[in-house]
Amino acid sequence: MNQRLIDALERCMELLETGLPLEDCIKKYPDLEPELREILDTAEDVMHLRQDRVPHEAMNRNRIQVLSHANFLVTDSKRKTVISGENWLVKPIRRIVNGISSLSPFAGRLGLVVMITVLLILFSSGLVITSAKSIPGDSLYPVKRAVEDISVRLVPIKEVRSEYEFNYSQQRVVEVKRLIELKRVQRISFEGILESMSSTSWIVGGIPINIDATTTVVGGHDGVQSFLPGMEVEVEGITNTQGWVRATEIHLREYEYIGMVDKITANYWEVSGIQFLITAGSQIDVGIREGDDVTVLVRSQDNGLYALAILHDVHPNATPTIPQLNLTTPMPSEVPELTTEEDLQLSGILDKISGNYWVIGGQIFYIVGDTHISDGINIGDTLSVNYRVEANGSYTGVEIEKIENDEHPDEYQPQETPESGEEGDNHEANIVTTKVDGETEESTSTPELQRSPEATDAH
Amino acid sequence: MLDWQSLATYNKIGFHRFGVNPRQMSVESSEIELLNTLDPQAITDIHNRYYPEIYRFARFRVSDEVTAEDIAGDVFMRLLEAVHNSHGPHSNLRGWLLRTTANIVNDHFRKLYNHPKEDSSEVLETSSDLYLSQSDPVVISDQAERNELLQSAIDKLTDAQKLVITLRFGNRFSLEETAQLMGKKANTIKALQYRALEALRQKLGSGLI
Repeated sequence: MNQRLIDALERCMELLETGLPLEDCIKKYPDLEPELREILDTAEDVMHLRQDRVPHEAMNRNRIQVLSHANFLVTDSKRKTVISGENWLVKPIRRIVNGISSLSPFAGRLGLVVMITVLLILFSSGLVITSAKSIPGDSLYPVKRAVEDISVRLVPIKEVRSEYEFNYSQQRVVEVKRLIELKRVQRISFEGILESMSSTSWIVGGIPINIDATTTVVGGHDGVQSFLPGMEVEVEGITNTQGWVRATEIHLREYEYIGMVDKITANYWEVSGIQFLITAGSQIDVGIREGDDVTVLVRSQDNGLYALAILHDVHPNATPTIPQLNLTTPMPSEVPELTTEEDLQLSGILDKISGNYWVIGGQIFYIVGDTHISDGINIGDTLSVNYRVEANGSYTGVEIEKIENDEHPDEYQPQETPESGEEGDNHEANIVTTKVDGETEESTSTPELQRSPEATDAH
Repeated sequence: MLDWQSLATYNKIGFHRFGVNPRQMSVESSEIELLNTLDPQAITDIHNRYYPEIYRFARFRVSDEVTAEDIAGDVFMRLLEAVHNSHGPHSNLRGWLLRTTANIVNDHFRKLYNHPKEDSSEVLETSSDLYLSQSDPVVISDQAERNELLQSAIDKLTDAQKLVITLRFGNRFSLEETAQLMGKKANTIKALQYRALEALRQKLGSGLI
């Protein structure tokens, strides 16, 4: 490379910048003229590309943008400082990932994916645990309900699923009670047994409900007349600070319907003009034909009426079967063999009152025209029942009386679960079975109850 | 490839080695210090001081004003982001800004080559309509065409040659200033400049653009 030419080019460029004409510059290096001229011509062309003018409008506009962005970054920094608590987690992870990445980019990506997955699992588990204690109105409550919904859907066994649904239904009641305790005003919905009812207030699942002119009552076939204590209802309403729920809507969920069978199909039965959907869980008495009178135990859902059971309405041939009521009380097979002519006695808590049967201590007793029932009986009361066993194993109530606990608080022990009795037969520990109008055939196992004046005075 | 490593080395070494005025270095250091706090006044001063240089650098390399404005604006945004993420310049703010400008210009051309525009003759024909009110639109159009050819030729130089040509012709930087920014000796810059112009002459003469 010709160093003189390079130096001459630089010198000429400097002179050209000062305004010296090209020819004058070239004259200074006559021996280099041809090469220098060619390259200076090119340099002159390149100089024409230069734009000295700076658009000040654009510059000012950009300055504003830059200052605005700087302001945003400052604000962002402050925000990050406030939530810098995340750094205890993010920074170590970033270091680990960077460390792995330096070994292998693939391993880095894989490590990152694994870490994110682990964090998601940990986070979601924590969320689920935390949400379990939430009540309506809490931010995590939707998570709790979603988890419940998913867990119900994931259970493959129908019985277990029903148990889950029942437990979650109970949970709703607990939540409403908690809201009332906290005096929170919150829109709620829950299902429970209608325990008592007056014109302005009902008690459902132990929760006082206020009924007013705006409350919509849905279900049954006689409006509010269809509602009776012992039926299962769904309440929609708003909790208030006075300790009760103002009901906006009450749905009758489970009730009885008596009618004549119009039509029988695989999917539904039509009884006195009303269609009831049949499921695999529907209990249907054998031998029912079109034209028979039946009692339908109805479950009212938003998508239709489901027949929980369809029973012959000709008592006592019907064998009542209610799937959700059982277990802690003796089944007919557990009751000692008795003749149908003899009356027996049993005491227990009144769980449910239905049109033609009551559930006492978990056992169903049919109520017939000559059943004597004392006044003032409510759901939850402890009752003494004289009953007889029919040929088909069902029980018919003969006399039902309330045991006044308050008069003998020390003498009466409420019915316990069979597991709680450690001595002798569990059945004996809970059920008082006596032969009323003859010599005693079965012993009683609850001394306190034997001393109860109601138990002895009854007969 | 452009010896950006040299520029980086220069950035770390600072101005003393190349005989830069210590006072200038001190001013730049205090500028960077204030910049790191994202102080609005410091940002305004830096913007006023360097925007013209950055714009001229970009405008020399690209054919239209708007693209040059976008590039200059982008440089300052990147500066803020870098400072915010603690990756900003430590000692040589001007070098950092010009290096970033060069990178953005290179990216611009890379995108342009990946997504070519319509035929340039059509563009010129259309753009000539814009100059109808000018005294001699044909001349302007010819000059615009010549400029585009030149810019295209410059873009095909090596990165070091491109930088020397841009700094010397576009920004009117002296030989010493250019040497400082590129971290090279003045003679090396002179040689690079000569080779760059020679390469341009050949490309323009042979039509190999």
